[in-house]
Amino acid sequence: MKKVLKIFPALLILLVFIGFGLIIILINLNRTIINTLYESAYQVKTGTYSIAVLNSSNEEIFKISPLDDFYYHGLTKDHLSDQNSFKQLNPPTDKLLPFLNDILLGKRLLLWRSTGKDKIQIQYQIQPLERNTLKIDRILTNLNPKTYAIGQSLVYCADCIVTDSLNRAYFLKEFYTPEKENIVKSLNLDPVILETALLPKTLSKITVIDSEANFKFSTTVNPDQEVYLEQKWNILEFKTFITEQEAKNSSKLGGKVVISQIIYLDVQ
Amino acid sequence: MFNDFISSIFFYLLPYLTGKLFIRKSFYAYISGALILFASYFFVFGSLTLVNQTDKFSLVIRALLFLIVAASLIKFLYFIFQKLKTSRFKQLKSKLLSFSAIVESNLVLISLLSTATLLYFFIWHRLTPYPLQLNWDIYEHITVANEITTGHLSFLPSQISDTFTFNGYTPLFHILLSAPKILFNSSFFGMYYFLEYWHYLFSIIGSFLLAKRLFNNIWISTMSGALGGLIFESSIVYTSFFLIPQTLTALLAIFILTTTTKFSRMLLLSLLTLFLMHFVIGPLAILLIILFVFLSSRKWNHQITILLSLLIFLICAGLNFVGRWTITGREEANYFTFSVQEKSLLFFDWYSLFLPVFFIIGAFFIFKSGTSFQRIFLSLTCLAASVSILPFSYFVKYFVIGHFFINLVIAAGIFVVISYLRNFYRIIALSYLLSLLFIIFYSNQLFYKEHLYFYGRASHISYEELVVARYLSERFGQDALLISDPATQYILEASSGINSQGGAYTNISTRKKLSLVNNSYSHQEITENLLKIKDQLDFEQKNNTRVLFIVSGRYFAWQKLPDEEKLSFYINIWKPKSFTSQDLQRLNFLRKNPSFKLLYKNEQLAVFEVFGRNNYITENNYD
Repeated sequence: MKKVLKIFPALLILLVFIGFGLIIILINLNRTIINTLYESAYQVKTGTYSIAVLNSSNEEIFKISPLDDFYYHGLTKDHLSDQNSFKQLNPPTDKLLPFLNDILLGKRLLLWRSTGKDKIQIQYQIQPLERNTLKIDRILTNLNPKTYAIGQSLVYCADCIVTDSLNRAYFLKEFYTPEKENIVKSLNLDPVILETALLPKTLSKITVIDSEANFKFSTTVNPDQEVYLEQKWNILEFKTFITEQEAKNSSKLGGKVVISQIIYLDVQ
Repeated sequence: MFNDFISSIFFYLLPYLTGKLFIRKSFYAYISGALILFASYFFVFGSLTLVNQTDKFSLVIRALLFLIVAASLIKFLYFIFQKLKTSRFKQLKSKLLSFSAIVESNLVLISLLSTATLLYFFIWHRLTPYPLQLNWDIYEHITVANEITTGHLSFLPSQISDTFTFNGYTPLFHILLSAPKILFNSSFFGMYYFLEYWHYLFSIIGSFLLAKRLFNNIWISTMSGALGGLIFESSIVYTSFFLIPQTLTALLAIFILTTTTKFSRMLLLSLLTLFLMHFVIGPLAILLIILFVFLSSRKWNHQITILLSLLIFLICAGLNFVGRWTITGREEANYFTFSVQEKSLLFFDWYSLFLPVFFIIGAFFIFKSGTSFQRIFLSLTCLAASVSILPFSYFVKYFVIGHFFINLVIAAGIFVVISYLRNFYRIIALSYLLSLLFIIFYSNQLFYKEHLYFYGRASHISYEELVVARYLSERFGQDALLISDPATQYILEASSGINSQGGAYTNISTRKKLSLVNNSYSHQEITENLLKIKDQLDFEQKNNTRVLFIVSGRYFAWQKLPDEEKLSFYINIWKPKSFTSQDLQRLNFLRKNPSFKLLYKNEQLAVFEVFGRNNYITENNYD
């Protein structure tokens, strides 16, 4: 008892010291929480429901959101999240990781986490790479075990046109209006009129331009991916297949499904 | 790069060598040398003006500086020769041999400076390589220093360049800046890159020596030095990291405090230097030094002095609840007038819990059991803090002096807490607190650089802008006027040496004309508006025979701002920008202007020469 009493003041001081440090760390982590990545020609901004990529004039190039992403299970295609299930999460680890990433690696990182349908947890991890290139990781946990594919959506700028490296412009039949036809002609593009939303599987790269042929962004397509053009909503959906095991593991401790996408915001 | 590095050393060395010719004590040699250089510049300028030969100014100053360096070298060689002749050579030899002993006795300071060097280059300048900058204020100082090198000198900076709309100091700082440039023909940007590093180290040394003088305790000195290197005021103040007249004034004041004990002629010269260096910060520094010397010579109960200064502090703090006052009448002054809450948040950001916790402990310790020197110092700390928190615009800038004082009291507070521990645990506790200070520093510097990221770099300026600056300086001289948005003008005027109308402080009339230029689709109207832009200073206006219109990513970003923001002196496009596709369309339109000739273009800037004022486009010069 005497020994305990003897070391009690020292323990108390130690606890005060640790508490002092923890408060400082938390205050500073909170202060440096990264909501926006300012890069050379673009910035990535988190909002309540989505993450938007804007150009230096603050015009939206594209946005991503779990409300626009999908998961496929059985014969059903469901949004990863909807207004009822959506809740933005803000765990302390999401503040610590970008901070450490900056200190140790000098790399900037933006984390954004939310809940989805069927208790799915969705985390977007955005990291700027060299020369106006952006890496978007969708990290999904607690997936429905029957999930066999994930649809990553990019909601591209209004009035923009989806093209490929061979100067072909893609349109769904009902959206190929005379006005679009004129634009396509003026830009010297070859129009490809689609019966369904599925883009040709031979596509390896997709580029989005505006109606004056100004480059907006481009992204590569993996051979095992399917790309859908939902022109009504300006959505490009990249459907990536996952195995049953991956879906099952995502519910286990430490298990997750990571789907990465590289976006080029500069002409490559 | 090497030339710039050497030049940066000579920023400090030239005044020192000049003063050393007459004064023995090193610090006072620097002070008197600075004053001699200041006076010499004016003497040379005055004499050349009389014979109408101001264009030879740079040449004469260079000769003078060569003479100073040569005389110092001769004096040094003579000193060695004398030592060799006398038996004191043996002492010198033994002194040289005992170099290791000197290192050993200053091991803590050396370790502190080595760590600070790592911190400076690997954290602070990690994404800002040579010669990019993180200090927005330097451009106006470089502009004035540039003007001085070309033979334009006046007692007030606003008479040297219209970038200055407020005279807060004489051109003493700019004279010191121009001296190594004239001597070595180095680049101001490259030189500044290293200058701020030396300033950072000197700030740490100043904090360390002040603590050593007052407490003679290695723990407090170390902590004070570490605080000097880790406390970064990420807005308005910038004490240790930025070298500008206000920070140099504060640093000199600290060195004066570390060396002064009584009134002397040298002290008077030092105080004069502080005043010439900064008309606003200087007087506070002078007051604090005079009080320090005066109170040190009086033997009374300095606990009463502390209580009196605390009362002054409380009155000053209380004034914040009465109101806030914007002074100087400048539009930007509104942005520098803070409420109590805003001020508290600023201090909390810079210090976090270290300020409320350890300052109170340190102050209480000094009040209760400090020496009279320490008590006087605490009183001065309260006074310095009182001025910083007064509810007037810009007064937070006074914290540039308070920084050193507050840090020292915090260091004393930390020592009080760890003094109960045995050495081993003391080191652990100190390391722990230093780690916390590092986190605070990291978050402050991150906050500061957050908006400066551009192509993987963090700076107000880009390599592309520097390339354009070089292009301009090689082809144009004093006869050209540069026109662009305020930020582009500010940066290019400093980096190219080509004059603009007011740089970042371009007047309302010019801003309005620039807006008209952007809103117009008439080539003639655009040309006319650009040609109406005139410089404010006579000598500059007389020279403007060629007009350069710089269209940059920044320019277009500025043009997209709302009108009231375009007229604001506080709002700028702080970082470089590339052209967007929309910008390029406008650029293509401008290229079709028959009065414009595109001289240079990269992905961020395009340089047009505008014809029509005194020169006209011809078949020969329009290709």
